[in-house]
Amino acid sequence: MHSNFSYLSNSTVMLILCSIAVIAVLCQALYFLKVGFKRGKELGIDNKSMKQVVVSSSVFSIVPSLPILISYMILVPALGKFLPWLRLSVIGSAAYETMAADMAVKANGYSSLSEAFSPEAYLAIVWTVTGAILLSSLSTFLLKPYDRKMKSIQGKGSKFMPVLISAMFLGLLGSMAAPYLVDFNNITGIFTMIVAGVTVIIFNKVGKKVKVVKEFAFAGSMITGMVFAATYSNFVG
Amino acid sequence: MNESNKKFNNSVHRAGRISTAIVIMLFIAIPVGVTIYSGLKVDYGAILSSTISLAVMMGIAGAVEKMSMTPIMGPAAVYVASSTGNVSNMKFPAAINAMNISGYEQGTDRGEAVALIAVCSSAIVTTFIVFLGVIFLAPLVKPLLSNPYVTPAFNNMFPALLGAMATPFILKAPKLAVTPILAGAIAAYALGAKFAMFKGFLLPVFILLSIGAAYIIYKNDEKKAANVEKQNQKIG
Repeated sequence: MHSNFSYLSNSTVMLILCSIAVIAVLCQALYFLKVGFKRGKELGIDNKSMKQVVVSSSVFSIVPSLPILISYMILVPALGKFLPWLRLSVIGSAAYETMAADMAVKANGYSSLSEAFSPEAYLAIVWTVTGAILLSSLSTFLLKPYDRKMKSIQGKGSKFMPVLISAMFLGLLGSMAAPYLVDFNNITGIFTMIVAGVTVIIFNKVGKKVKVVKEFAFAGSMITGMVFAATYSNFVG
Repeated sequence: MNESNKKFNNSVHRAGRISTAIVIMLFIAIPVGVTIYSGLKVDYGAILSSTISLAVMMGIAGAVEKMSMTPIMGPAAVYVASSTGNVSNMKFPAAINAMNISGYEQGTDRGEAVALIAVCSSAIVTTFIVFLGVIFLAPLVKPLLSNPYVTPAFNNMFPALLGAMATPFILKAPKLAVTPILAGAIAAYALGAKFAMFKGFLLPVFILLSIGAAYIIYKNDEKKAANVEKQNQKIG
């Protein structure tokens, strides 16, 4: 058994394989971006509105991307340079990658990711993080029949359909927000949610008169909430 | 559905399925490639037994997430979000924000078009930032993000994001929002830390509860509107 796995994790083979996958996902996003613009034009959405969406979405995405870099730094010693790059750029998320990798090293007899493990254990991690997400990725193939069914219900002109979509959306929001709403050990989180909520209402109101404010209302409210969290935790909490 | 919409939907599903299949194959090529390169023996049985429970859990959660998001942001956006990851903390909020700023409703053709543009833009930006992180940015950002003053801001990023995303919709339909939020809060309180583990199974329950409550509210509102109309006719 080898004592070091970096000859595998930082190998040219890993660099090439991971780069190809990242480029493929990037191509998918670029292709669909083109599709989105074409479709928007067909539907009579003006170019300016679509460009506004690009700018607003891009600006919003910068802040949530930053913690990914921290996760990258945490995963590099355990998984090498290239696998965390791939997993955090595409398909995965920091929480999932850490959980899957941790399960794999424990199954191989190690206590944590920070331990020096064998190349065999490294291979087990690579297989586990890939395999564990496979069913989720394959479930994408259920979208076509499901979407057809939903569209056919929508096509019948049911007045309930917009209500149903709102209800689905609120159901999703409920499940996302629930753990934070009742986390009384983290009052800051509850207050942060409220502050961001109040801010977005103010921004949206101002945005009715000043267009540019509406464009950045979402990102601005999120950042205001975060600034509040930092201030509250450091000075009050 | 008209012919143009049908044609567009078919092309989206074809492109989505082909590109997803390619991406999945490339993901699988990584463990296969590195295993061949290493020349080492891998205990596939042990990997399968340690992976299967997580795979099933992630599979159910992923399928439910995709199905609940498809009517909201459209299948094309879901195909891209599925490959690029970080769905609930980035792609979904980006799509909701796009529909909000452009004034298009969820589940409409225009709403789906702007949601697709938003998800793709978000995916490209994230990939670019992570790439910069790999080259040079990560060590530079680390001291800033691990600064004790800044840490609570990032620890509470998701609540901030949720507040900004959810509030306008809760205010728009407060009656519809009560059931799913209350159900979620009760389940989260009862399950504590285990909530995250069962989220994939609970999400369809919350959605069904939300739809059920919405249907009752919708029928009641319809009845009320009919009664008002009847009374107006009597007065008239």
